[in-house]
Amino acid sequence: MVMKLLALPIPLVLGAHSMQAPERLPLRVLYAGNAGTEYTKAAMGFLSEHAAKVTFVESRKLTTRDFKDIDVLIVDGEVETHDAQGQLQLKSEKINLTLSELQGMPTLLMGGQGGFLADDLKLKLSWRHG
Amino acid sequence: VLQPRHAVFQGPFPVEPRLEKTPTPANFKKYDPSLGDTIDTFGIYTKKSPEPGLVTSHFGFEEVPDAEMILGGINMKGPKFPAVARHGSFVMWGFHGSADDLTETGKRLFLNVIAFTAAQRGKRVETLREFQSRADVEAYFDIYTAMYLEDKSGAKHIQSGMELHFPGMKVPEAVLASGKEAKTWYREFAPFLRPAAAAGYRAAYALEIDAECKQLGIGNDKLEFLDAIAGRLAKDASDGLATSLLRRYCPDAPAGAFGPWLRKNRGNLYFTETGGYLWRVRGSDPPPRFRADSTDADDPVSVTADMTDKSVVVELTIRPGWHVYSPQSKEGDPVQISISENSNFSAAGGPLFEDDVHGKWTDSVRIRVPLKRKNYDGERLEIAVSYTVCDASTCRPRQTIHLTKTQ
Repeated sequence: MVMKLLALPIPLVLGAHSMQAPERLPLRVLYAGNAGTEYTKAAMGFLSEHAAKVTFVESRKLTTRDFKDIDVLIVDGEVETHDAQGQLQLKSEKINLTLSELQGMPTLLMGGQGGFLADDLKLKLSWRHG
Repeated sequence: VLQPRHAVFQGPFPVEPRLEKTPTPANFKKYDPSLGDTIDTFGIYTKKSPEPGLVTSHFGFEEVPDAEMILGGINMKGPKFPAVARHGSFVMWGFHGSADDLTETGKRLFLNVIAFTAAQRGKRVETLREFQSRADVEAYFDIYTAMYLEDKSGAKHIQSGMELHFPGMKVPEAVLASGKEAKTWYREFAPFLRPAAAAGYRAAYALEIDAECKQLGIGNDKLEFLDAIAGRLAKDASDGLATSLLRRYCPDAPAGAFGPWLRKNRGNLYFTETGGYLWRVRGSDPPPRFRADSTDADDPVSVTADMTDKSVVVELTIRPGWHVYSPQSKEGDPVQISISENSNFSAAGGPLFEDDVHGKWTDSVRIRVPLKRKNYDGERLEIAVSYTVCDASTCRPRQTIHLTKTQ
């Protein structure tokens, strides 16, 4: 089944284009995710094709020292399963950074890690309010 | 789509959604009965992910310009719950799937969202999502009460919801049987709500009527509320009601000069419900999570702290020309951090210092202390930070600052 977006019936951006040649962002990306998974492999492959530079760090090992010379941080990662209380569990330990360490850092929150981090930081993007 | 002309559709890469008619999810109609049988959608991934995606509630979302909703998505909640949204420099991409499964449109949109995220450098989170907004409570009456009433044990669910939202409040019988009655009842006191004390997760939901606000007779989120306080203080600087309300709702304002402060900041004030039912000035970071026992403006060092559930991070900001010592230093007394026994947490290891080769710290320094939870009785953490600060010629007496987090 296709995951779909709601859309208003108006043209958004017009013009016929396709991604025949890789379109590349002039950005240095730091991808924080799960080590050694197929999901991460696909994400890193995609980003390597479309960004100027991509580096990987395991989510639980992410520190502010990793932010040197990067333009955007992507926080991603899969959830394992629901525990006995029905709560989602991450595949690896949560990111251990505070809001004051991340304030102002361009950060894209994806997947379970993104949701848990938004909850921990009490962002308006929080998963628990979804 | 919440903002069809948003930057994420404008570039750098063209996005050409091919719109399809998709049956409107039943849960969407509960939020908005006026929705038709189909809605227009376009595909982001070619396969459904086995994992849940992220959406967040739109209620109380855009109180201030530090946040914006961009895109919705098919979800198990409501039609306006955003899947792509921004708060400060954080952007959420709520759709979940393998990058290998992105559609061509999905690829370009995702790349545009990455570019948009990179452009948010320096944007600050100003308010947090710690409390229920009045819009959340309205939704409870509008949507959830109606859902519960379809069920035989609905009144029980509503009673339990009322206890969560308004702990200790006497709820009329009629309110438990009718969403309309409930809303009429709620709207009588809604303008005077403030967060109530509650333990654990309940703290995020609990609200109560502020008797002093009700006595003043003006909703706490109206500018007239601040004008009334300023008026009372102008007549009598020791007015008890005005002083109490000012301290509660406008903690950043100077009590002795509220009128001039209000005139100066009037155009930049906003009232945040999710951030604590407070009046704040735009452009300020969220209130600090830790309170210091003393602040000395003459001290060349200021100390703040923030925490995750696994560590507390102490930051010392040091005035130019001054320095403090790390444990590596052979010259001076190093910075020390200890955790009080009164805390619900204890240290799970020694402080993690990032020493330079000389063991001297200037400008600012962060020290991380690993934590473990001792119990679930609360979120209290008390830390003591001791330091000796010196310039080129002299050192000041050793100072200890106590920082306490209670929420």
